[in-house]
Amino acid sequence: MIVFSLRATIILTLITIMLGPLVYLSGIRKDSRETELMRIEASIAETRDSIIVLKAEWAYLSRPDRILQLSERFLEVEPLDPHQIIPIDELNKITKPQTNNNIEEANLIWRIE
Amino acid sequence: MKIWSRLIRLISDMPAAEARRVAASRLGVVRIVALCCFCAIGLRVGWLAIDFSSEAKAFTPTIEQSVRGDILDRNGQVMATTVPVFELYADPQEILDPREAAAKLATVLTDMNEETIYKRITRDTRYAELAWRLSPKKYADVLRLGVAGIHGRRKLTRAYPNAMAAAHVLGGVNKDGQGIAGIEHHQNTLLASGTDLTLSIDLNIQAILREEISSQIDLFEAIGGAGIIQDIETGEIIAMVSLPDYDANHMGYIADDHRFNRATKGLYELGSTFKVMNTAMALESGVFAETDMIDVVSTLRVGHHIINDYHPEKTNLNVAEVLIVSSNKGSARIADKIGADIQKHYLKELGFFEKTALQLPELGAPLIPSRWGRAEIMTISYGHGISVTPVHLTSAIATTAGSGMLITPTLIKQSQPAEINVQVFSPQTTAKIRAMMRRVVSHPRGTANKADVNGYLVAGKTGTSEKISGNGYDKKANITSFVSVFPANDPKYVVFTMIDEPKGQKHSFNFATAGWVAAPVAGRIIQRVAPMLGVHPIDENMPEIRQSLMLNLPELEKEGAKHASF
Repeated sequence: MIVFSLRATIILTLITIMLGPLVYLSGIRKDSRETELMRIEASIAETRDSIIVLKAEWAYLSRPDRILQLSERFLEVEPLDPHQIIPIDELNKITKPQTNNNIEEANLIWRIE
Repeated sequence: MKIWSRLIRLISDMPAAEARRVAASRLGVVRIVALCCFCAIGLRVGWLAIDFSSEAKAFTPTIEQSVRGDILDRNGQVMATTVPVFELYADPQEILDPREAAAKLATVLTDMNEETIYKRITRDTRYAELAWRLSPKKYADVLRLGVAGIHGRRKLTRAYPNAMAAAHVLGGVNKDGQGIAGIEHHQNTLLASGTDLTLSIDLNIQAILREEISSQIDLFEAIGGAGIIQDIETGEIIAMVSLPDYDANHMGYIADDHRFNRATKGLYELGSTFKVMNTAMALESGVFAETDMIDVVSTLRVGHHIINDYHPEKTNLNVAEVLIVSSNKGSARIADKIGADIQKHYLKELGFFEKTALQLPELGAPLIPSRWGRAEIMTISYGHGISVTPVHLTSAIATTAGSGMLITPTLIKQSQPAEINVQVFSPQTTAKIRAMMRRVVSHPRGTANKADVNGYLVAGKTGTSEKISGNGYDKKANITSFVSVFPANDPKYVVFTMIDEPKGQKHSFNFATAGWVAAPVAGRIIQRVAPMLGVHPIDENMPEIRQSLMLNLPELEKEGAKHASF
């Protein structure tokens, strides 16, 4: 048989009264957290959207035919000619001509090559 | 009521002590019930405080679960992606001042004029479509105008940023986002599950291939063309173009001729390019050695037909020379001796009897003769009487002029070399074939001198054939093609170019043959793409390279002595 004394009843009542606002406050906090979460999720979705769009735009702007047109217009470069390419181990032969160590002549040869 | 009165009677009848005991025990029961109630309420309150209930989530914008996967090129460049767009519409009843609204909207919706917009937003409806797919940025601009009665609906759409570059490879999707053509259709299940797909295509190479073929079509007033660049070891298609093509973003409005994929579906008699396979099977089967002499002078009659050469020969040539000068008579005589069984065996091995395994729905099934008689054996040796697609030919050349291992074409990037275990030709045979194909380009008597690029050792074979029209051939409509590998000493790539119905021009001295049309464009393509593909120029006169391309050509060398140019 459980019998509550008066003192115990008063203490329990006080605890209950104190718990009330606490529960209320945490409810409010939960609401604001949830709003925050929704906002963040919305912003994630928005950012993802813009990443997708930006990626597509980047692909559109960097498409090879456009880059080619731009480089023809603004840069003085042309497609590589086979003569302009040499293997790395043959680089040595051109920068240091065996016949002469004169730097100016080396430069000249470099240019001609 | 009955129970209540009975209870009262029960207590009032009881002695005082007994009644108190009963009352106390009832009070206890009430307390426990009350306590249980409080506990239940407390638990519920606590639960509410910590629960992220589902109703809140209903208001968050959902992130699409399975957006269709992107299609990427081999370097990760986006070829196809799914982007959010906005469908813009107006509710005319909500618009206060249609004149002003139309004027404002016209500043953003540049593809419609003010009058059109005005007409639309004054219609007697509650839904007037203004734009079908508006980019998010434009949609924001529209919202910023602050016009009442303008609404947008977000939806997803497929976008092809490199719209024209590889339209036939990509294909397209319908309004529901389901693939209806090209790789979008073939790989629909994979893409629909949200998986990205990396193709073997290199967009940079693709752009060059398209540009060069396109300019050659213009130069020769041709009706179309095709080009393929294939990795000779893996079978990966690095670039593939069919012209005329279309903007993949607007696939629904395209004429059939533009949709038609000449590279994979178009069936053509590809002419003399078949002599490469003919020579390879002659050597591999052991019926001929490359030094065996062939009669290319006396008249060759099959039934009622006479097989002629474009340039009639005055002296007999050996097997290698027959290929280099592209003699129909010589090839036909070689094939005649090889016979139908060997010819069929190799053509079947090389995949000429069925559709290719390419990951596209648009594939052509070869047309092969139903009766394989002597005439068929002979004409097939120089690419007539058999119609195949360009992809058939490039893959067969990858086998015949590569390692000799069977190569199957693929559009999907391969992480490792394909497991191939069908050896069609021996490396000795393919090395000889390459040496011969190199002479087609480098020897003055070869037909593809215009494809030569200093340092890249282009080896190839031209093919010019008249198009079939009705029951015969149309003498004025040619298919010119050139198939090549480079570099000849250590082949890395196959390059195929085809120009459909070129017309002779002043600058080509009225010639419209493959040597004038399809070969030079291949040379230009190789010159531009080789450095990008990591193939470096080499000196052809280095002894080991001369050695690897050695051939015994008695007749041509005699002539070569006469031509001081060689």
